[in-house]
Order: sequence, then C-alpha cells, then structure tokens
Amino acid sequence: MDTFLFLLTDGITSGAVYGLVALSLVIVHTVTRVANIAQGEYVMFGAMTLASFMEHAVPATLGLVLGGGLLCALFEAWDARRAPRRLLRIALTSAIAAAVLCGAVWLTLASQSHYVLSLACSLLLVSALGPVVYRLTVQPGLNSSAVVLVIISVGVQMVLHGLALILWGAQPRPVPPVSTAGFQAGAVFLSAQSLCILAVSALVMAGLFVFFEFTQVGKALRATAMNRRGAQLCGISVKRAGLASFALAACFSGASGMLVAPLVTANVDMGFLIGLKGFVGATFGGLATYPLSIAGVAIVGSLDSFAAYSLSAYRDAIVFALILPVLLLRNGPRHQRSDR
Amino acid sequence: MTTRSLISCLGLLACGLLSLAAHAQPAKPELRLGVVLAASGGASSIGLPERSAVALAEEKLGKADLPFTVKFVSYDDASDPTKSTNAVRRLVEEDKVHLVICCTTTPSSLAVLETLTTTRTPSITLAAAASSVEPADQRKYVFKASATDRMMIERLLDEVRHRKAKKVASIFADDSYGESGLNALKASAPGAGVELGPVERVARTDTNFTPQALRIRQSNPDVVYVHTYTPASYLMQEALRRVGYTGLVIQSQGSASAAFLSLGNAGLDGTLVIVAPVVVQSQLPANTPGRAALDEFVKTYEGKYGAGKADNYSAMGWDAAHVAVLAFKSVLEQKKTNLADLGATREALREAMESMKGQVSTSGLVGFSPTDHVGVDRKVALPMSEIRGGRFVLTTH
Repeated sequence: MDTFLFLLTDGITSGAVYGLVALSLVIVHTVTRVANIAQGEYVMFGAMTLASFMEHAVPATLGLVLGGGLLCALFEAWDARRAPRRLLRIALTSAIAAAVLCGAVWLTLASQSHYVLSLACSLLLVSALGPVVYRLTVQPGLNSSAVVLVIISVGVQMVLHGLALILWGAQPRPVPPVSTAGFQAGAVFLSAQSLCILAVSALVMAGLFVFFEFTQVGKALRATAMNRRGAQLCGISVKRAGLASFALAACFSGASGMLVAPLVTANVDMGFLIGLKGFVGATFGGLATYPLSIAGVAIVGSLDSFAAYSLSAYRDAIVFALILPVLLLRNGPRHQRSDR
Repeated sequence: MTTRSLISCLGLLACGLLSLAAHAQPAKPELRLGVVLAASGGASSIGLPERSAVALAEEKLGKADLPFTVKFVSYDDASDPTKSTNAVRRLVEEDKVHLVICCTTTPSSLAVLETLTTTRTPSITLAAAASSVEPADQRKYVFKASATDRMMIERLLDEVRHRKAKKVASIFADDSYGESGLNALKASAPGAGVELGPVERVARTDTNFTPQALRIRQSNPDVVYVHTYTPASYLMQEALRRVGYTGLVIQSQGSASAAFLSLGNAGLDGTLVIVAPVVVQSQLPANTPGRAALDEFVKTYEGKYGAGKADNYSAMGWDAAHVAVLAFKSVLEQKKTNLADLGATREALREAMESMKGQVSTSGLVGFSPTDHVGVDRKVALPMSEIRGGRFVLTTH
C-alpha cells in the first residue's frame, strides 16, 4: 500500500509536469494547426534560463530572444518598406520590447537573483521565445499542410536543442527547489516542490479556463481555433492569434521546466522526452480538448511510475505503446461517420 | 603578348625551382591518423573532451622533433553510427590514413568494425564496451588503450568481495553503455560469488527515479551499483536516499566527473566511485606506473583548456594519439616496411600495436598481445575513490 501511494504521488507529480506541456500543445495545435514537436525544448529553455540566473549569469536566452527578435523586426520592416508610419511603429515596439527584456534581466541580476524574481524573469524570456519562433518558422508557411508544419517543428526542435548545447554545454546544472520543506503524509514524504508543481498546474488550468471564457483575447483565440476563415472574416488577426498562442504555450512549458528542474537538474537533453510524454497525454484529447488531455497526462504519469517500478527496462515502451489504442479509439468512430 | 609569355616563363621557372627545393630536402615519412569522434549529438559531452585532447596532441606533435611527421584528419560523426561508418570509409579510401582513432560510442565502434576489417586498417577505439575490442581474434584490427566496462564490473566485484558484501542491486542506463555493463555483470557475478538483486534501468532524461529506488530498497541489498552518467546517476542516488536506503552506493566511471560532485554538494559523502587515474592524479603514489606521463598530460591539457578540465575522456583521446605514434615509431625502427605501400604500412602498424609492451600512458602501462587488445591493467587504470567533503579521495587497498 505504501509503495502504491509513493508511486501514485510521484506519478501524479510527473503527470502535472507533462500536463503543462500537453496544455501548450493543445493551445498551439488548435490555434495554428502545428503539432509542435519542439514544445519540449521550451521546457528545457525554462530550466536552463532559471539555472543561469541561479549562477548569477546573464542567461543565453536573452541573446537568443534579442537576436531572433531583431530578425523578426527586419522581416516585418521589409514587409512594411513602403509604409513609413508602420516602419516607425515596428522600430518603436521592437525597441520597447528589447528594453523591457534587458531591464527585467538587469533587475533580476541586481537583486542577487532573488528566487521569485528569477522565476518571473525566466518566464518572461521563454515566453518571448515563442512568438519569435512563430514569426520566423510558422508564419512564412501559414497555409502549408499540417504535415509540412510538423516537419518544420521537427527542424525547430533540432535547431533549439543545438543552440542550447552550444550556449550552455552538456553539463547538468543544479537548481534549488522553491523550498526544501515538506511534510509526511502517512508513509509518503511530500516535498514542497511536488506540491508546488501540482498547485501551479491546477492554477494554470483554472487560469486558462477563465482566460478562454471571459477575456476578449481568449475568445478570439477560441474563435480562431474553431474556424480560422470565419474568425478572419470577423476581423480577428490570425497572425496575432498565432503569436499569442505560441507565447502562451512557451510560457506554460517554460514554467513546467522551471518547476521540474529542482527534481531532475537543468540539462539540455531534458526537454525532448518530457515533450513527447506531454504529447502522448495530449493525444487522449486529440490535441484539441483540454479536460481529456489533463486526464491523459494523469494516466501517462501514473503509468510511467508504475511501469518503472515493475518493469523498468520497458517503461518508455509501455508509455508510448499507450498511444496506439488511443489513436484507434479516437479514429475508429469518426471513420464510420465519414463512410456514411 | 610578349609580356604575358615572359610572365608565364618566369612562373614556370619559379615552379621548377620550388619543386627542386622540395626535392632537395629528404622527405620525412608521414603518419596519417584518421580521427572520428562525436563532437556533436548525444555523446558530445564525451566526444568533445576527447577531440580537444587529440587536437592538443596534434599541436604538440607538430612542434616535437620527430623523425616523421604526423598528419591528423578529423571528422565529426554526430554520435551517429551511420555517419561514423561513412567517415571511416572516407578516411580509409580517400584520405589514405594509416590508422583510425574511432569512435566515441560503442554503437559507432561496432558499426565501423566491418569496414576496418575488410580494409585491414588498424584502429584505436575510445568506446567503453568490452565488446568493441573483444574477442581479440574477431577484432584483429581494433585496439583500446583504456579500461573497458567489463574491467569496471570486475573492479566493482573486487570491492564487493573486499567488503564481504553478498547482495548487489544495480541500476543501468538504458542505452549501449548500460546494456553492455549489465551483460558484463550478469556474466561475472556468479563466478565472484555475488548475488544479484533487482536490476533496474533508467534513462538520462527520466523525470522520476523513485519507482526504481523503491524496488531496490525493498530487496534489502548490501550494495547498490549505479552504472549510468550524470545527472541520472546523481538523481538515482538522491531517490535512494529519499526512499530510505542508507547502505553503500558504488558509482561507475560515468560519475567520475566534477559535474557529479557539484550536483551533490556534501550529500554524497561516503559514496564510492570507480574513477580514472586522471581524476585522482595528485593523490596517486609517486611510484604508480605512468605517473610522469599522467602529470605531463594534466599540466599540458589544463595549461591550454583551464584548471580542472582534464578528465577521463580527454585522457583517453590523448593516450590514443600517443599509442598510435609509438606504434609508428617502432615500425620505422624496424625498417622492414615499404612506407610507400599503404596496405603494408597498415599491417605493420597493426603488428607493432599487437607486440607493444610496457609503454607509459595516463592509465598505467600499455601493452597488447594477440589475445589481449585492451592495453591496460584494471588495478591501475580504475582506481577506487570515496567522496569525502565534496571531492574524490583515493581509497587505499
């Protein structure tokens, strides 16, 4: 029984980590049709950025975002080359964005890398990475087929991973937990970090619900997800919706990386597997429904934990095999319907 | 028109003079070394220090006064066995190298085996698995100048017997490093009278290590052996502590790095780690075989790349380059081989490697025989260390 509880709590904790990634995947997929293979890399960028702050260093993410942002601004400027007022606006917004990011990093470092400030600033930097990636890789091929978009995201994954390896090296870095406290619940020791992961995940899910139901931007995103053409005709900018979805997704995945880093250290290889497991969870909801995706990651996390206990050599195979019955079940009835 | 023909005449004359000058100097024989390492991809954390050491050896050999010149041709295989095979084929056929230093990983080393054997090109591998050089009669052209994982397992079993422990639970990486180590343990444990507890697998990128740790604690082992790299090796140990295991933990060479120590702070005290001589260099007795070579390597390497940078992997790269040069030296001294004949030179190099005896390296004396293509002795090449106060301390026995 103790073993069961131990495995279950750890399974749910990992499930919550995958859950944030699954939510990101669903947001990106519904709004932009991209099944984002690169989503796990934002997890790694979140963890590595936080680790850099903990070492009182300027995170390499800043350079990446500024460099990418400059490229975006140049592309935008080229598009607007005949409209001086738009050019001016692009220059102004870019300068403000760069100043805000640099200012945030400076403030964080000036505060001797205060933990909460470091978290917030890392989150800001990683969130900024999302729109940059969207502008540079997705927007040019906005009307391509879903397969092309998936292949682009595979390329993005390779580039981001390679960049991180160059910028940070392969060495794992320790990241201190939010708090070393915890409490004994029966035989199981619950660390503050695990509770924090669960709390943040729950908060994000609730926040997302409020955002989609009650805010204008959220409603616009939902409209784009339901019918892109229709949304466009109603005056919703598909481009802006895409930028917003990538920013949100990067933010959630980055948060998941920062939360999990104290448990597994920050290293450049951590992202991909977390991303894939989040993906398996999200397939439960067909990369489209939030509640089913959450159920999916809870199952993936627990199965992961129990498989590692009873058959550790096959744990990943068992988790990834889960995708087969899910795909069969999800696709079966729909086929029948289309036949009729 | 006349000016142009004058210029071309002068040019021709200059060319002739230059080639004369080149011929006037007696040409030194050239040793061509091919290098294929994983400078990028999954194994780059191992491949990069290896490559830095080979680059340093190239720089040193370029300045040294030798009766021959050494030319290095390096390729990156991106940790991909297919790319390793292509690179080796290119080295052998286009670059006409005499010997290949390849590869960083075990899968790559096994993949290039056929190319090496069919083209009869000798090689020195840096991969951990014993299967990359053993059995020697099927790996005629492959040598290794550093300890294998089988030796690491034997070192572990030495330690377990020394402590009169009975039951060993173990955790292996779920890649070629872990697979090969696990096979070695399964083969050697019964003979050593050691009972094997649960055998668990972990990946470097796992997020949850508690399940495996729980299973191990429930089997009440005397010793837990962890055969994977950082950070998984550290996280596994942390999970063991969390589920209440308080016994001895022995870590493989995959944890013999500064990164492992920095992750654990003081929480790792009492852990045993199988290391390489380079890790405990300053603590080794002065009469340790190869100590002078080791000191020289550490001084040269850290002089170039920074203090504390010399590690097991860079030492392996350094040794491989030096063993190759030593073999070529002995080929030249015997004066039997026609160096213009590529095939004959390769074969002579292979024979020189196989008959090499008692040469110093960073892991003790290196010597090969037709039945032994692993050049080193495990007692010297794999010192046991204990972590005390956040550093590796050589244990004496």
